[in-house]
Amino acid sequence: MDQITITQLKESHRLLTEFKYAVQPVVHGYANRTLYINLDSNTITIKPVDQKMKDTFTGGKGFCLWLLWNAINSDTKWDDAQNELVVAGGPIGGITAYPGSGKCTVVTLSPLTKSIIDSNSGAYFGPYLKFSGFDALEVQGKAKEDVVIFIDGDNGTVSIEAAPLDEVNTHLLSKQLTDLYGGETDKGKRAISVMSAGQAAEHVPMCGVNVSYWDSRRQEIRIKQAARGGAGTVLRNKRIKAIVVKYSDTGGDSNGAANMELIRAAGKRINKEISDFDASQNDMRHLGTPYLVEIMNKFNILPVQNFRFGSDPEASKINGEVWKSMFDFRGPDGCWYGCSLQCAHAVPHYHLQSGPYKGEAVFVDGPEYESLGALGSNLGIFDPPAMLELCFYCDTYGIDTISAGNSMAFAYECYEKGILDQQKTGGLELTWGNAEAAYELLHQMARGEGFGVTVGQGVRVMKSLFAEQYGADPQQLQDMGMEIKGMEISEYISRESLAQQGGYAMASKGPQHDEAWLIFMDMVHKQLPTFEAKAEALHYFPVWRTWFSLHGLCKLPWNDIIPVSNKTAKEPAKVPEHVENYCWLYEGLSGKKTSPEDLMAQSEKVYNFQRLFNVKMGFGTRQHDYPPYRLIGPATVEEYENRKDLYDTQLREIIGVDPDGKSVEEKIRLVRQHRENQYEQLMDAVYLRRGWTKNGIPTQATLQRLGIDFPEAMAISAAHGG
Amino acid sequence: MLAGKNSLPLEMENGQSVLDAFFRVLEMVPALKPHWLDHEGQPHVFVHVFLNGDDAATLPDGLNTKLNDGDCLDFIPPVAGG
Ligand code: SF4
Repeated sequence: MDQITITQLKESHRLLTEFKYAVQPVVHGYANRTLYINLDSNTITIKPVDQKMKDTFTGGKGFCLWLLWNAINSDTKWDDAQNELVVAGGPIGGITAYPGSGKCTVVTLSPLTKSIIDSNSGAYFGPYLKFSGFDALEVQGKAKEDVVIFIDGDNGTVSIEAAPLDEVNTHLLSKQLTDLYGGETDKGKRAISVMSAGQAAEHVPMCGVNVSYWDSRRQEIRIKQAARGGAGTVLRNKRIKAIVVKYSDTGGDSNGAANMELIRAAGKRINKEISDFDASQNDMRHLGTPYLVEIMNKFNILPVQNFRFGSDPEASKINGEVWKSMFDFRGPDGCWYGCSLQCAHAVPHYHLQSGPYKGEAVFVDGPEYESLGALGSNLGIFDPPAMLELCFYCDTYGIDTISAGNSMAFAYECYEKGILDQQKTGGLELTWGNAEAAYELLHQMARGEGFGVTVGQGVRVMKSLFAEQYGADPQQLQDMGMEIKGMEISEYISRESLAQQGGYAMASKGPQHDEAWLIFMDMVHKQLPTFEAKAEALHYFPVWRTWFSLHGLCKLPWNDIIPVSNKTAKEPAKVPEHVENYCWLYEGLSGKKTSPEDLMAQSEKVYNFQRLFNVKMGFGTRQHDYPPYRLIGPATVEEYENRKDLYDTQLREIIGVDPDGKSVEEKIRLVRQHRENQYEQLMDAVYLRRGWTKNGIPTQATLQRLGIDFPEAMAISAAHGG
Repeated sequence: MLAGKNSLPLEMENGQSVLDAFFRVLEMVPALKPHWLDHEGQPHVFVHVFLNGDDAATLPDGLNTKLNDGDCLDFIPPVAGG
């Protein structure tokens, strides 16, 4: 089909409603208003943000959770009109003097987990939304036809427009809308950020949203993703093709900071560090997150063949150095102004080998480490062009690479074990390393047909389907299905790190490493030798990491660059100098004296509130915090045999059993008994440290201590024994 | 593995330590010096040395741990996860 022109596109848009408002300057990081859009009635209103809301929920993810809490009931389902898609940047977000300050967070009731999820993305949406006048955006209801929502912060208008001819897939749609609303100049295009999903979001629950910005140096649309948990599926379920925000006047002081000098001092300190040491450390500016492939492989942490193994001799074919030679270094790679860490790389001129755009040369953002683990090693695919093909189509169709990779890997293993065959897969041969089959599964998800739609439902749904329909052993499927809470596990093998098992399984939204990444602290540097130490880490780090999404910040500049002062730091894993930088940022913004404890207090409120929100929705208790056994220990003979020496030694030295003369099955049973017991003890220790009951409920005393003891919260806690 | 990139065989004398090997590598690959050494000529805080898979800093003798034939050393940057 010929692509339509921008004039045709413009003519095809029909205004359904328009709302005018006065754009006000941001003061101390806050616009002090949120935007509410209802697509059932095409109504648009503004809600005030009061001091209590700021004191309790800070902003960003905290605001999103609070707005959603007030919008839905405990029996609301993800595809009810009542469900909302809520998006926010955060108070610090949008500054340009400190790296990593352009994130936005998306919160919704998830089609994948059926509970509350949050996912964050880079690119310009969060800051532009705030500078346009809104600390958060709520979209409720469902449109009767496909629409685009346009927030024009330059002119103070919000419109809902019927958009019948716009593309759905991100790489085309973002370009169309950037051209339509941004015009022909670089300045105009730079003022646009588009949030969209893709075709697959109309058919499968594992779709996230893409967020765009214009890269004027390369003359390309760039995209980042809030990929996890199904926000893109919710977007399309509401018949939104895209939400576009426009703001032209971003400057160094757009946040209305109380003390710019302090913000600049923090920025100066870290920017010098990045300039001096990034090349000696992780070289994020040239390798990006793919630097992790080689290291994870070295330490047996890289998921291979559905998390069965932790390394593969072929991993070097997709490691950081390979991507460095392919990345486009024509311009800076920060996904928001002023990010000197610049890890958002991309590969130009990739010629697609399959699907609707076969033969076209495209610009592929990434790949990131997670995508390489999920779609590469975890499927036994170690071919860079295949990685680009899979990443490109996942992104443009809106599919989360982690959920897609793990779901496909689960299906591949089921195929290997005979649970699936070609008849059941519609003729696809799901053998390890078969990239063409993976391409086809993605195209099927996008077309809404074939076995791809089954895979696209995610691991949890496949587990019950295969047990019910094909008579597979439910316990075996449970052990090898790499999901928790209905969300697929991100790409780190945590078998030898009890703390990380907890980090994954006790994470609020599901097993995403943004809440806790403790593998090196625990397994490699051995800094968490006791249950108490692990519990302390599982208190501190999830709370601390949550803080970034309250403020619209990227976590990477916190600990992907290490200052020299860490040499004498008492707790180097916390990177105290950088925490001090964040205190300066908040103090500089708000004008209030700020300590590390103040930052933690902001976050602990929201962390506990999210847990309670899960409880309100029928989740969030101990029974929801268990991982599949493969995350804890060797689930099969081949996994045991793969690291036999390690497990035999552990049996002898830790469990106190002589492995000699025992069958592998018996040894697996003994290791399992021990490790599952350890996990139970860890849960007890963590819940105690967090101020939760043994069933994982924040107690009323905890809610009071944190100042989130409003009546409904207290009643939920009380009703669950808190 | 050197910062995730290369590998090379090391010939060391009897009784030499992990730290000796660290400086031996720098003699063989001087280009690494600005990356691995601080301004006092000591190992940077962010270079982690692993002996046969164990973080040398966690061993009883730390970087002074003596080497044996066939030992494998890895030099790894600070890893924070995604
Ligand atoms: S560190 Fe990377 S992901 Fe984070 S803001 Fe900078 S470029 Fe974006």
